[in-house]
Order: sequence, then structure tokens, then C-alpha cells
Amino acid sequence: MRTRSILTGSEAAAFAAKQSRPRVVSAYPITPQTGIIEKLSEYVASGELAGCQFVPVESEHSALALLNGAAQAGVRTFTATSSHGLLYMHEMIHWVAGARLPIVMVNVNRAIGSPWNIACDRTDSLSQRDTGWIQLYAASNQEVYDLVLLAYRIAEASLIPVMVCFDGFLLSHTKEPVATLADEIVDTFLPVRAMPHAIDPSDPKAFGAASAPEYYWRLKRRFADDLARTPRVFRTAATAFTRASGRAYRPVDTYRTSDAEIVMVAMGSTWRIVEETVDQLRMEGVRAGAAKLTQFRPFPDAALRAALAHAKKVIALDVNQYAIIYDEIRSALSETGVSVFGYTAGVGGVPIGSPLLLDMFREALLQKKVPRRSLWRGVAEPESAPGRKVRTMIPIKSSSPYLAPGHRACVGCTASLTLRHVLDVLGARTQIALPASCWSIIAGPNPYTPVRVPLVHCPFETAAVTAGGLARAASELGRDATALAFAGDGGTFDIGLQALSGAAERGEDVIYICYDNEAYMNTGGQRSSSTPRGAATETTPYPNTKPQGKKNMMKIMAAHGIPYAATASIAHADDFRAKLEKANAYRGQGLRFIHVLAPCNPGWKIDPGESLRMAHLAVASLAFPLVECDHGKWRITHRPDRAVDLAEYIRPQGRFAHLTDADIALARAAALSSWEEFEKLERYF
Amino acid sequence: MIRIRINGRGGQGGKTMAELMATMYYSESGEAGTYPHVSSAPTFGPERRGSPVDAFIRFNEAPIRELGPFAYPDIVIVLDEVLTRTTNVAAGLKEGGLLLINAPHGPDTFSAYQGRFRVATIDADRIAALHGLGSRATPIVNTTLLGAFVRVAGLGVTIDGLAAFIASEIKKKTEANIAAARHAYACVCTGKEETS
Repeated sequence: MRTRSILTGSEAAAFAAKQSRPRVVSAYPITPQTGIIEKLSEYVASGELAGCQFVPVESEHSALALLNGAAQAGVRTFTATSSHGLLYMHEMIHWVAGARLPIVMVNVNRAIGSPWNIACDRTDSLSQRDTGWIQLYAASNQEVYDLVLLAYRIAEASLIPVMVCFDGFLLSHTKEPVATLADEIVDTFLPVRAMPHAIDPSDPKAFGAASAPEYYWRLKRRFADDLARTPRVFRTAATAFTRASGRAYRPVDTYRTSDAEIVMVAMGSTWRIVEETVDQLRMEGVRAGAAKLTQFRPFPDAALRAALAHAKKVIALDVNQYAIIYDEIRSALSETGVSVFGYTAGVGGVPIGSPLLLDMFREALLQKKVPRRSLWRGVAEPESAPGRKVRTMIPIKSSSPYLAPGHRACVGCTASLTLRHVLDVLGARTQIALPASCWSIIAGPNPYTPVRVPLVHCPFETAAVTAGGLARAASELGRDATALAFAGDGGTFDIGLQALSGAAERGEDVIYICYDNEAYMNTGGQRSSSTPRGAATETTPYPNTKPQGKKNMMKIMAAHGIPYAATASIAHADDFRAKLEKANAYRGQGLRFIHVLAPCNPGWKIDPGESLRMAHLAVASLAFPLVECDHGKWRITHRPDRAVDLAEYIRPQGRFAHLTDADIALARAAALSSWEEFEKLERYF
Repeated sequence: MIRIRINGRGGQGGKTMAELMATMYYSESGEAGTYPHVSSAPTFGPERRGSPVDAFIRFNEAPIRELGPFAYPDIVIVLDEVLTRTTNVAAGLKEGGLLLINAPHGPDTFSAYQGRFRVATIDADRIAALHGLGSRATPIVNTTLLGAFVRVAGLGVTIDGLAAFIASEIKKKTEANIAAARHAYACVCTGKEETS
């Protein structure tokens, strides 16, 4: 019988999280973390993870904030994120550490912007070093599994949250054999313990209340002391884990260091390439070795000094910006007289192979003088300066002056068509603020882009306010510009709603277009608050389909009293363009908002040729009425001339395949009631 | 180490095929036809239906330290014949390496590759569609190609072994997947001799 399963790093993390029996899991999708939360959603839907609430929140900030409440109430919790998601949590990362909540979070390491990059580097979690969390890094999928289990034990013993980090794609998307433990063994290893400072209704207390300086100081001093005790906590937890699994963990591991003169310090999956390189050097007779930082925070100074006791030269390898590992190692070895050479490699996902590391070893061996900074290695400087001209991907003539051929959308995508219509109407003076969305990919990697107007990529939650900045500056500079925020439903309905509401209330001179494909399609199709009731998505798999209805964004925006709010469909181009003309004409009056239904064929599970027909059927079946609210005056802009039953719209879509006739009858009643409401709004307002 | 690259398009099932292969050829003890160390990975990047995506599989006797894509495969499996015209599917393939192509015609059509490589073809689109796997526009060809693969690759898994593996691993359309694999096993064309 097999004792190992072939798992991706994401699956290994999800399996360990499941076996840890968390009671509350919260998550927000971000590449490359999605594999973890999708697997957990499956476990919840199948009943394998019973007694657990899985909460698909509207942002990473809320993911950790939800756990702040849940963990304070005394239950075991879990979340996972990556890159910008981790950065967006930053406030809560500090908060839950200060609250001494034993939360376990997985971070899948990914480069951070600007510019966008979804490949692995570790700047994201390493930049969160001074937040009070314990940080662990895995070198293989086996370690991912083991460290998640170990993390709970450490967190609950120390009342300090633990972040388990592993390399995006290199581990998260790679399948490897992983030895898992039986549920009973995990249960014994992770007994449910009462948190001493959990909420107790019979003894009400306030948590995190304002503290006088001396009281605050004492709490923080105690926290610092407890962090200093981490080595002992780690050792105790690891000993228990070895008894349960037979596998040993230490904060710092070594490879062939006993007689090594030169030792490279590395972490994460890079460790494996370092081991390979050490073997090659040993065959050449070089006394090389390696040390691995499994624990990065608190930094294991003493363990590292012991591991490097015989080394004359040490190489600090940073697979991240800002030479964070180099600084830590220099500081840890400052009194030992060892020469520390810093190298930075792999930033933004540049592959790290043995030849590159061999060169570092050889260079450091030869050097007499120690450079005073980390040296970047791995990518040659271009022979000529890169061209400044933005290029198209396919040199054929376009029917649109502002959108050239060669965009990077899926076949049958309507999001690409949406921007085409927008630019056709708004023209050359348009300046786009583009948050994370499918269009972040469609717009192409620099220096290629099909977009022929200025385009500013911006973080997920910032479309409206970034566009506001474009508008304000254009006004100051006396430039004739139209600021356009172009966002998906996730960036509008969920994470971007706060910035949108603020911009609408302040009257920012912005046109805001939401292209709505009813889920997080760029990350593979997780539910958003725009997803209709009953839809199966990657985070609401059957039979746990989405219980809530679609958020009514049109009414929310109209309620802001903005000059113009409208819905549109990509299948009704004339109606859409007329609305764009209006939005354009109301320049200077405040924020204008258009919500466009733009079907996604992979996400809706329809044939690519069906995308436009679905957009048409959505309108014809009254699922998506075309309306506007022009300075408070409501109007239905298109009355379907042929009544189409809602089933005609729903039945062809794979995401609704499980719906019964009764389910569709309920949806039909809801659509009718919403239509009648628009009829009344038109009549009376 | 044996390195296998799958060249396909987003939505064709190449990633799943790579995962199935890693699982099928794995066994801790490493008995005949299996390896104690395996890995599989897709192209790292955003998922887009229809765009060219590769998957990478490794089998080894010793622990596998390398990760990510590799440049020099021993075997290449091409899920979409169009890719043979738009990309260099044999990039990095070792002299005499196996090139298994999903195409409706025989290896002779790929004269550019014949001689340098061992070319085999299988009309997996037709076979998968015939057995109701995927849609006609996007047939899911992974199990069909696995049937052809175990015939021509000679890595020690038999067609009965594959059928048993599919039965244990694939929950949806299990019988159709097994039938398509057996069908492909019978029809795969190596150019040297007609196998059916």
C-alpha cells in the first residue's frame, strides 16, 4: 500500500490544514494561492472537512480580520494568501500578533509590484519580518505538509501566529510524493486546547483596548521575551512531531558543513539547487557546504552561528529584493569574523540553476575583499537599450484605432470587446487606471500591449482612486484627458468597493467601467459578490453552490447620487455606446459608472462561440436588465421585444448544470421582481 | 532521470495528463515500470484557454532536486497538431527521442522530425470525441494519449495497468476513458509497421 500521495504544494498545505481541523477558514483568491482555498472548498463541500466554516471574504484584509474575531473567540483558524494579498493584510498581521492569537497562515511566495509579476520571489513574506509572526519556509511539498502541522503546535504553545511560506509555482503547482499522517495521529499531535485569553461570556473582558504607555510597554516587553523563547518552543514541537512522523525539523539545517570552508545560506525550494551545487563542488574537491533557514522569524542567530562554526566564508543568498537575508546573516555573524558575501538571484522568478550558484561560490572563493552589498546575478544586461516604443504583438491592421490586435485574452473573451467599445467612444484622450483583473493579463507584458492610450496598472482595490489621481493631475496640468477606471467585478463589487464609494462621494471626475464576468476569472473562477445565486465556482463547488444572490451594484452606485449610473451588455453595443457617450458628456460633474455584463466562457462553462449569445439572453430573459439613472431619473433603456424564458439563459451554462426546475422558478421570480422594481423606479423617479 | 514534456493548449487536459503520469509511474519501492521519485508541473503563468501551455514530468531513481521547466526532454507529447506548425515542438528533444503527436495522419507527414526523432501519431481528437470525452470543439485527449503513450514509450506500464489506473483515479466517465485509452493503444501509428 502506498503511504505517499502525489500532491502539489497547494494540495499538501490544504490537506494538512484539513487534518488540523480548523473551525473557521477565511480566504480571498490570489495567484498562486488559489489551489489551497479551492481544495479546502472541496473538502467543505464533500463533508470531509466537517464542523468548519469556510468564508470567502471580500479582501485579504478581511480574511485576516475575520480570523481576528474567530481566533479571539477561541477556535482554531486558517487562511492562505500570497504577495499583494499578504501586503494588503499588513495592518491585521501586526494586530493579531499583538493580540497573541495562534493563527496559522500559509503564504505562497510571489513577487510584488509594481510592476505585476506572479512568479516566485520571497520579498512578500520577508518584508513582513517585523510583525511579530514566526515565519517558516518549506523546501519541498513534504515540508509544506509537515510545517503546517508543526505551525499549529508552535502557535498554540507560544500564542504567537505562524506563517508557513513556500515558493509559488515551483512548489505550489508542482506535484511530488508526500507522506501524510493518519487523521488519528494528527489529532494526537494537535489536541484541541483552550486558549487562555479566549472570550468567555461568563467573564466579559475587553480585548485590545487603549493602553497606557507603561501597560503597553509591559505587554510588548513580554511579547519580545516570548519571541526569544521560540527556539525552545520549536524544539519541543519538533520533538513531538518526530515521534508522530519520524521526520525531524530544526530551525537551521545543514548539508556537508562539518569540514566546509565556504557555506551558502539559502531557504525555500532554492535549497535543493544549493545542495546539488554543493555536491558538484565537492566532486571538484572544494570544501563547500550549505545551511538552510527553515525558520526565518525570529531569526535563529544562535543556531546559524553553530551551523557555520567552521566556515571561513559565508554566502547569503537572497531570492528577493532588498538583501534581507544578507542583512540578517551579517548581523548574526557580526562578531565571528566570518566574511559574508551577498548574492541576489531569482528576483521575479528568474530561474536559479546550479551553474549560477557555482559561479557565486567560485567568485566568493577567489575574492579577497568582501563587497559591501549584495550582488545581483543571473540576468545579463541587454546589449542595447530596450526600445522605448510600445509594440503590438501581431503586425496586422486593426479595426479599432485604440486597441491593436494581439491581446492576450482567452478565445471567445468579451472583456476584450468591452474595452474596445469604451475606447472607440472615449477616444485618444483616455487614460486608464487598470486594477488586477483579467485585463492585467490581456493588456500584455511590457513592452507589448494592444492598448494605444496611456495605461496605469494599479493594485486590486484602487481603480477608482487611481483614476481620481489621473483626473486631478490632468486638471492641474491643464491636459484634456478622460480618466477611466476599468475594473472587473471582483475589483468593483468586493475589494474595490471602498475606494469606489469614496471616489463617487467626492465626485471624482472619472468614468468607472465594471466589466462583470460574475467571478474571479483571472485566478481561475472563484466566487465574487457578483456571482449569481446557485452558481458553482471553484470556491462554491457543488453541492455548496453560492447561497447568496448577486449584489445590486447599480442601485448601490445610484444611491451615491452620482450624475450617471447605468447597466449595459456586451451584446447590445448600441445601447452600451449611447451610455458611454452620456458618461463622456457629463465630464466634470462627478463619477459616472457603467456596469457591463461580459460573459466568460471558461468560467461559465459554455462554448467560446456562445459568449455573446449568453450576454444577449441575459438581457432578453430579464436576468440582467438594461437601465440607467441619469441625474436621478431612472429609465429602462431596452425592453426585450421577445420574451425569453430564464431557463434558456441558465440551461446552457455549465456553472448552473445542477439547478432544478424549482431553482430556476425561484430565480425567475427574483428576476421578475427586480424588473418590476425598475419599472416602478422609471415611473415614479 | 527521464524528462517528458507535454506541449498543449489551455483547456486540453495537458496538466491533468502530466499529473496522471506522475501518479501512474510512481511507487515508493520503485519496482519495474515505476519510479520512487516523480514530479509534474505545468507552465508557470496565468491560465488562458487556447494558449500554448507545456507540462513537465520527471521520473527518477534518486530524489528530484530540480524544479520548474526543463530545456532538454527525452520524450515530447504534442496534444495539438497545430503546435507543430506554430512552435518548435521538438525544441531541446534529444536525438532519437520520442515525439508523440495527436494528429489524424501518420508520422510521414512530419518529415521534418522523422529521422532525427522517433515520431508516433495518434488521432486522439477523433478517438476522444468518439468516446464522448470533452466537446467536439475541445475534446479532452489526455487518457487517449496515455493509451498511445504506454504502447510506444516502453516505460513498463502495460495497457491493462493503465486501465486499472484509470479505474482507480478517474471518477467521471471512467469506462469511456478506459475505452478511449485501449482504442488509442490499438491504433497508435509509428510509421515503421501498421499496428492496426
